[in-house]
Amino acid sequence: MAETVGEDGTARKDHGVLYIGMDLGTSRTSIACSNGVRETVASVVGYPKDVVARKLLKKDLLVGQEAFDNRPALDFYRPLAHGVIKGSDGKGDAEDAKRNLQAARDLVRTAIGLAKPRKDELLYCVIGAPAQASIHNQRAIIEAAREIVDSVMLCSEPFSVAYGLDRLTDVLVVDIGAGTTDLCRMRGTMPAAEDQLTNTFAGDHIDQTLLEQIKAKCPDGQVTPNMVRQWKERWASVRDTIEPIRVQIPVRGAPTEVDITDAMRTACRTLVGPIVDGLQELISTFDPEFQDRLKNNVLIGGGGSQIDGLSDVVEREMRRRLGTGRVTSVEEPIYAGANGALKIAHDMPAEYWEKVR
Amino acid sequence: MILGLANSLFRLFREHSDVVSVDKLKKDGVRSVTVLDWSRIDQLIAKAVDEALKKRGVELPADALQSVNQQAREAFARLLEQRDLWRDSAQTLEQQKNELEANLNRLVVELDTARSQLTREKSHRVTVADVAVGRAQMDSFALRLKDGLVELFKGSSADASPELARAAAELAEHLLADEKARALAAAKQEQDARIDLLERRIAKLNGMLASSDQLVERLKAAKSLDPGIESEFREVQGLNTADANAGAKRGLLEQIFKLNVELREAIGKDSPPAGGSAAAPR
Repeated sequence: MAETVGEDGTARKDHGVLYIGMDLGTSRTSIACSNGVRETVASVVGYPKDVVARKLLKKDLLVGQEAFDNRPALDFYRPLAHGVIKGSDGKGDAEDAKRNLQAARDLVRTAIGLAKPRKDELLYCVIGAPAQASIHNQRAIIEAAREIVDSVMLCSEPFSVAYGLDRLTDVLVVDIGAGTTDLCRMRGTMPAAEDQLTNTFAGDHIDQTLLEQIKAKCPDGQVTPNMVRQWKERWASVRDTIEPIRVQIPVRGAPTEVDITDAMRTACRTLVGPIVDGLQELISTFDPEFQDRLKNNVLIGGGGSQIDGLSDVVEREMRRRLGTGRVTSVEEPIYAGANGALKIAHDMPAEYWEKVR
Repeated sequence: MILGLANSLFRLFREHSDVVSVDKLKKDGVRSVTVLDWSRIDQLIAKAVDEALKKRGVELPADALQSVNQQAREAFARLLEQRDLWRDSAQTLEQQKNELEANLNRLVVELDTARSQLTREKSHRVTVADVAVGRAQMDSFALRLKDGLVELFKGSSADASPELARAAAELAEHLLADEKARALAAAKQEQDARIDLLERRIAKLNGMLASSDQLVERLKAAKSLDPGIESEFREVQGLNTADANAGAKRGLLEQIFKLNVELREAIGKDSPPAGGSAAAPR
């Protein structure tokens, strides 16, 4: 069990190989590793605002729930938005973009640290990154990971989901994240640009719509995006009939019960139309002889796939618009991307890993 | 023996499993969980042993195989216990580190207070105003004055009063100056004792601070000695050639590799990204 040390004093990586699969998402970052570790953290990063906060928190960096819980004392970052690192398009404030980039790096580093790797094992990591991530984004992700791992590769998120489930041909993967919904057509080869579509009707859009709906129903109620997100995570549903959802909302300081059942259903259903639009586009541009296969092989993954009844309602809408459709949700929405990335890492030949070190 | 080991495994699993609430699992998106009973684990260990032996082309007689299986089960149980011991010791170390850090903070505060007290003492010159004269000292001074006056007036006539009065005043002045000097010397001695005490206190606190600092560093280093969790694999795996989709997967993996090579080339040509330093954003 003891690790061996090389002539230069560093641990020799001769004990084994640890594969890490990571799904770097707008809302959550998950890892699955070949040592059995599976972890997920909220994709948020915080740095103590001042010396007092640093002394109190005894840390220079907080990630995930810990950052959420201490956010009044922190410079708080949610570094990914709409599937990419905020500000990386060069449109916003340069200083803000720089900070978000650094926060994304710290998020990647922390996520890899959660794998609890041994010092004497080779670390090979595949990161499922947003398909539309820019070179700057990908560079930041790769550089952050390379500080810890021996070799790292990126691949598109929906592809890793499909690979993990061995669904490589004639399947349509819908990956519903917080910032974007990615649709990917798998046809046995690496998906090309025309095989992938992205829209922003995703988790954040539901939150925004739900917030607006609640504000319209209860104009004096004090509701924060975080409260709305928690309600969504607990009760999201698109079903025609659902149990009444009643929440407590402070109105002029007094907790007031508000029924948000219809608001929740309406907000969640805003995803259905754009998903079926995307599916229709990817199906209609496919070989007509194989279109039915695609229609009957739709796989929904990502955090959004936890919306109760979503696969049924998408299937119903597909039947209405496309004549037929069969939709299934992945078994483990939080880890499907990371599991797939882990499988890719495992299957990747040794010489490829060596060449990208 | 087997039953004993089974019970032991069962106990280990029960005692050392992490408890996760159903709510938490639901929140994490887990819809179903795979349940392994101990007999299945036992079977899996036997299967793993069997496969490992087959892979190495080793064929064992039934009794030897049973013995190897038994050893594998025992090793598995030991590993479970080891992992838990590591976790416990890591928790203890973390707790010790936190306590030491809190102690360190207290020491720093105490040291600051002692240092400012010392600075105050050293910069303060003792004067008569600092001299507190006690009752006993007053009594002693009055007695000496009385004795002196009695001695002075012994055998004196009434017409010698002006000289006597002057001599009495001089005596009183002399005695008072003597008393002041004594009191100042005592006060100075007390101040020196206080300075000496503070200097020794500061030296001691500095020593404690240094050793606590070293302890914290050692604990941090010890924590980093956590060996981590061992991977399932001793060597690079690669695609299983027996995989039904091996051909298609090989092509896909090659494409992923090529895309990553191209990405690195593009990154090489691209200018460094903003925020390239490892420092936290401020």
